Amino acid sequence: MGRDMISELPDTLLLHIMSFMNTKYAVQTCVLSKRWNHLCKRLINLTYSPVPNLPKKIGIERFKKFASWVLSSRDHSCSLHNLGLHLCWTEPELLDKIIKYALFCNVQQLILDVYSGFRPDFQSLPLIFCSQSLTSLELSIAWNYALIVLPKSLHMPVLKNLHLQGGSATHELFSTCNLSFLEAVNIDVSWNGRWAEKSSIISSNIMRWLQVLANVKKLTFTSGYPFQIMLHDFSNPISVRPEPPSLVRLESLKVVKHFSVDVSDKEVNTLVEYLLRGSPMAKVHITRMA
Amino acid sequence: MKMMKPYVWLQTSDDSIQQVEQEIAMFCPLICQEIIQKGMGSSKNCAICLPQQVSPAMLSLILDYCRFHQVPGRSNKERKSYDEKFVRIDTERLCELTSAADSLQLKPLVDLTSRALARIIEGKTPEEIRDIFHLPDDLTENVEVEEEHVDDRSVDDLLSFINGNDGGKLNILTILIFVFT
Repeated sequence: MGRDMISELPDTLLLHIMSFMNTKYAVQTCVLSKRWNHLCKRLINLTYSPVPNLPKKIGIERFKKFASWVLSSRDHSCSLHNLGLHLCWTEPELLDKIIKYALFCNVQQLILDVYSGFRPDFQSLPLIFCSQSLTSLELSIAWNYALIVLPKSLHMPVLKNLHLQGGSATHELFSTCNLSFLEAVNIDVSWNGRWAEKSSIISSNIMRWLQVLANVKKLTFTSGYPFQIMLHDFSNPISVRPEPPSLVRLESLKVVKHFSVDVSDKEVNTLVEYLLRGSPMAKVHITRMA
Repeated sequence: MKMMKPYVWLQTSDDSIQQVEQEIAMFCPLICQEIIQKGMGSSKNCAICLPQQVSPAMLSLILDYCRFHQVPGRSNKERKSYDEKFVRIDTERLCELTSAADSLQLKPLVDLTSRALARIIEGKTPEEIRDIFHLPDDLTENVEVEEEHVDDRSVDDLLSFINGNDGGKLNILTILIFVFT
């Protein structure tokens, strides 16, 4: 019989090893032996990623189990560094609770890739946008994004990375912000129904927001939709162009194009030039998706 | 005159002392601190005493790792493929290496071996993991008893538990059985 070398490692190393595992397997280590029994309560990275394409009912049940484990069994004195919810079906109340819990534990990285569950009266949503601990936030809300009203101000003093997907930009985006350390932004706003009618509102909202993001180094438009909306607005001779943003520290602008209408490279270039008027160091990467 | 390559003297857990190229040994933050802050390692008499976890065999492995990564101009692909081969060792040595690298504060190697161990554990049944690592099966009885116990508390109860309104303590095993099944 060989020696049980792994159990001789100190807790910190065992937890480090577990941090590289899918949370499901990391938590399952508690049935291995007495040595491992209580370790997973102190995991600081939790990732919930069920198999893709789960039916809604099963998905909700599964998330319920995950959430109850986190809320009841985790050692709440341990701070939570990362919480990632991927492809997640959930009930709104539970999602709200788990987000509040994460914020209460000073979560630093939060990924919310949620199918359902968000509601306009969400208590945790405004709390996210004034978190003192978050350094990275990825928010992706499918289907019912129209319900999400993003707060007008955003006070996240240590935030470095922000990825917004699915928020509605028909109302004003964050207009007052404390984002001193924000370096990378990826915007992928959506719209209610026929955006063409509202393109000038959305476009000027995005533009106004870009003006607030003066310190950003990396700017990405993943879907190209915000870009497309701005282009549409630019092609309208009667719309008044707002002041271009002044992204003085910008190093890279990435646009992934899968435009639904034909947009000429010339039009794209005009918009890029306009956006980058105040950005002497910026490199532009435009990728065209089939 | 021939240029002398600087060497450093290291003492491993079995009390043996050996000479090692300084620039390679300096890759380990712990050795680097001993040399720079304490002026240790310059002769056999003031050899740097390495932590208990570092046996001669482990030191030799760690220095191989440092020697490879210390050479400038290697491509990421080369480094990655070296790393992959480097951790293809039996699990006991992998554990020993993790512990030794950690004691020398060599973070990239700790991450590499930890990742490798995580990959071994992931996706396996508890029995398989116990077999691979020779873990004692000292919980099984407990689990069987717990399995019959169903936790029917609602999430609200669970939340109030966090808030301290509920004096009851939950056994992790009780819940686990229902967690990810």
